[in-house]
Amino acid sequence: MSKPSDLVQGTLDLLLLKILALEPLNGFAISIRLKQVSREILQVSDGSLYPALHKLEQEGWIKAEWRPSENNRRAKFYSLTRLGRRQLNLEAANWNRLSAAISHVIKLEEV
Amino acid sequence: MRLRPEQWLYTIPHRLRSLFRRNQLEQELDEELRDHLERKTQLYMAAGLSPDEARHSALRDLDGLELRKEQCRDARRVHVVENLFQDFRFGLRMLRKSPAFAVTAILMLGLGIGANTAIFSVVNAVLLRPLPFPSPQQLARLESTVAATGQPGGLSYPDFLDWRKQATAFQSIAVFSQRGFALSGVGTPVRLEGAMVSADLFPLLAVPPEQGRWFHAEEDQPGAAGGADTVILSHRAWQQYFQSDPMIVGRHVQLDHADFTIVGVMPATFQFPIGPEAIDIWTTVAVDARTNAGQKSMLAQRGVHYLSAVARLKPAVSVAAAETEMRRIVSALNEQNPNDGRRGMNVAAERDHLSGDVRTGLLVLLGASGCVLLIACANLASLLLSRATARRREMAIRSALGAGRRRLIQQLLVENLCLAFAGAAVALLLARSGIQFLLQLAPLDVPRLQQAAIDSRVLLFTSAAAVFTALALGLAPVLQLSRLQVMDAVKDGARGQSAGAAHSRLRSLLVIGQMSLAVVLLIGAGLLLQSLSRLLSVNLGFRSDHLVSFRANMPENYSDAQQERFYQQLEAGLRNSPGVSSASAVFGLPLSGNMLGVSFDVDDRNIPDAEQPSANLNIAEPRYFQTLRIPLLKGRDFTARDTLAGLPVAIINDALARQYFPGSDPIGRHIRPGVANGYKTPPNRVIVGVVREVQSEGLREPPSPEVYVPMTQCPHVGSMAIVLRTELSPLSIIAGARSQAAALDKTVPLFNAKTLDEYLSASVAQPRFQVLLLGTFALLSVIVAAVGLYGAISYSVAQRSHEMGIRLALGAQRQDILRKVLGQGVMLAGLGLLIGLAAGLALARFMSSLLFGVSAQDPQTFAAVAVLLALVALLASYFPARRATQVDPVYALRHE
Repeated sequence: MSKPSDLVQGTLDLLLLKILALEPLNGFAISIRLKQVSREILQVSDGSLYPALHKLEQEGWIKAEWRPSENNRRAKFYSLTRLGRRQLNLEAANWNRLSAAISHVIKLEEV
Repeated sequence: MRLRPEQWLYTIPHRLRSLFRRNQLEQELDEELRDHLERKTQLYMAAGLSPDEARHSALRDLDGLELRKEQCRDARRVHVVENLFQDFRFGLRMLRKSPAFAVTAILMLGLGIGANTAIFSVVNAVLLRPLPFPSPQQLARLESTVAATGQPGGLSYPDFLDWRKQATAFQSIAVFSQRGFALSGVGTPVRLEGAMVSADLFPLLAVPPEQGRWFHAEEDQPGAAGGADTVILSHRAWQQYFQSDPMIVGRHVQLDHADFTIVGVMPATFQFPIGPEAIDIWTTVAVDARTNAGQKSMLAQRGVHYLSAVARLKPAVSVAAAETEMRRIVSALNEQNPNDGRRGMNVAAERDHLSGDVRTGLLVLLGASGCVLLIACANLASLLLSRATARRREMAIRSALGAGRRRLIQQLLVENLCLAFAGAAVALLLARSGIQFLLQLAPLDVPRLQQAAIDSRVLLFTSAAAVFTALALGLAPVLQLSRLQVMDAVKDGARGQSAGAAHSRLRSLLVIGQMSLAVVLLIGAGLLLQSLSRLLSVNLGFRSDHLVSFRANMPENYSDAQQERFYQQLEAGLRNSPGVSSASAVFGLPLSGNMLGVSFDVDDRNIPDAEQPSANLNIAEPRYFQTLRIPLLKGRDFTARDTLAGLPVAIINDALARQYFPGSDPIGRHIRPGVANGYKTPPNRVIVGVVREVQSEGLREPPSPEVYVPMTQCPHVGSMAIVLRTELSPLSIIAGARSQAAALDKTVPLFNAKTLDEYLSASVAQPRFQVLLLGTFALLSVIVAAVGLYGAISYSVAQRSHEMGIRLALGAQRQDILRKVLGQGVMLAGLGLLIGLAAGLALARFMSSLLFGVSAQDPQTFAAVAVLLALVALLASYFPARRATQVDPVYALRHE
């Protein structure tokens, strides 16, 4: 199961921001890319993807525009805004701090 | 999440777009997700699935297309507003779908809220709206009272001067007294209501004149008048009697045959003193300085208590603090002037002073209209409860489709808001005509009542009532909703009647509430009705029918002889008119509120002034008692021979005879009322007659001792009331009297032309008004509560028709069933009755000042209410009970 609740709260936002920082993509491409880059470990359901994207858009972190896609149809492409980049840096830093702390705890020697 | 300003740059356009380009967004959302599904389907097909399987898998990955769409919409953050609109539209649609329910509910709420709006607009005008002066909260009324009785009296001019000198709580104090003036030299003479004021009254009230000026300080000085006195006109008088003359300031007019100079015109909005009659002219108190030429000026006598005082408090000085100071000053003055009567003191905010005796009545009515609304709410709530039961399936399906509980509750509340605001709209329409109706019914003597209208404060009140209503209505269905079990409801919701015990308990509570509120209103109405009927059955002491009276405004410069001749000739002329059986004149016409108090000495005891008892002084012409049919118990009436040259005489009423001549014959004994008109000192008078007491001061007050003196032995009392008994219509008689008066002196206007029955009906106008309104409210509430009880019992019978069928099949008698159902109704009504009776006791205590001749715990009223309610409850439950006995056992069992 790969319900959004399986991801740590707020992680999905971080992943999406990061992927869009690399290049503007449409929703379907994002879902494929997510699987690829996380080496199939992180499975984000298609269902939770779109609400998350719409939320980021409303926050002003990503913006959407309609462009012809590779199959010559109109598709909605998302890209990072200036505000989104700042948010990405902020959340990435937070994540690093958090994961470092958790790894540190896990590595403690058991008595 | 807290938004940062720079983020708003991005978000605000988004939100606006979300709100106003909704369709485009929907289309885009749809397109985006469809695109996704197609690509995903292709992906699965490439992996070898059949087109159908591929499509299903793609859909499954989305995990509910509609749910996801809704989540995307929620992400827009405007869904609250959007949902509201949606719910609103849906609510309206639901109401359109069941027009019978909608019309009933909206009308019921319209009536309930409308009654509240109408009454509140009266309360607002009389009790709440600030007085039309700058900083009105600083205005206070200084009421001088008779220390012995606490009864309000006036103050004297010397008192006023001392107060003004000594008091520190006020920015200023001013005095005034109301008086009519005959305005002549402007066509037909008219009598205008006027006030004589001290010069500082206008600066104190701080309303600037629209033309000219206020009085100069020296213009109210006694003696300083010298030349012509000055007068200020009301806007209305300026328009009506001076044709809006633009050069009015400086013009001369004749008031009571004396010359006055007009110095100003006040704006149309200005009124002072605020009372039932509009004041048209203001003069200064200096006019009184030359009243009664040759005698001591009224303004110089400390014992003449005839002025009223108003003051402007210094900022931050409270009414209570001012009262403490004034009481100290007044009691010091009492010590210094022991011969001028001991006075007391009350200080009240001017607004409270004005609304004083109508406050309780209005609050009772407002409370009653609130009860009516509550009952309407409770009744509608039961209706909604039934609807909610019928809609359980709908709710369950919504819930299954992903609507959260908050969302469902919001939808229900919005539906109720639709109802409540539709009701409020109807209410405003009803209230507009309701206010007109109230104003026509309402007693005329309630200050500021005529200004009742729907203003912003009333609108606010109505909206608040509507919101309250929506919440009250929503409570029951929402409570029920919170127990909604989705699967149960979907399964057996089709039958729509698996209401549990909690549900029927709620319904019962609503019925009990309605019943108890109706009982409270019935008790209030019953007590007021009893009071009114006791008031109306008070023995007046005279026959009020076929009596017409009016007053003549005597010019100040008329000599006593002229006055006497005028009255006697007018009376004689009227007496000889066809259709008039007798005519006379009196100063204090019963029920007209025109009474003089006087202290007196009896039997030459030489009681010191300060200790003398007091009585009403009345001044009458011969044949007065005969005209009013007041029985002459002993002795004789006044005659034409009772003149200043003859023996001073008096007639007393039997109340005075009982109290001061107990067990002895008062005829031939002496009484000396403290009034000297026509004599050097108050004459000692021989009692020549005893008459039956009459309700001179109104119906509520028991008759006081009263002493009558002949007009010919007490000249110069101002305007007398001419009274005549006639079979003809009052209108034609008054027209005839006017022409007769004009023939005698065309500068003397007649005024206050009324029948005695009109005075009588005015004296019960307030209680009648209260009975009518409270009675209507009580009647409405009983009907609505009965309908509520009927509905609840019918519902429970319908619910239990299966059970009834089984009982009947098992051999229960139809009578048992009848008794059982009736018992249920009676029990609900009984509980309501008990609660209502207890609450009614509290209400009755609150309104005891409105009652007359009936105790607040009047057992008769309470018993009557109980019996009435029991009958109504039996009737309301009888019909459903009979239906219950007619259940066909076979039918009931089959349909389970």
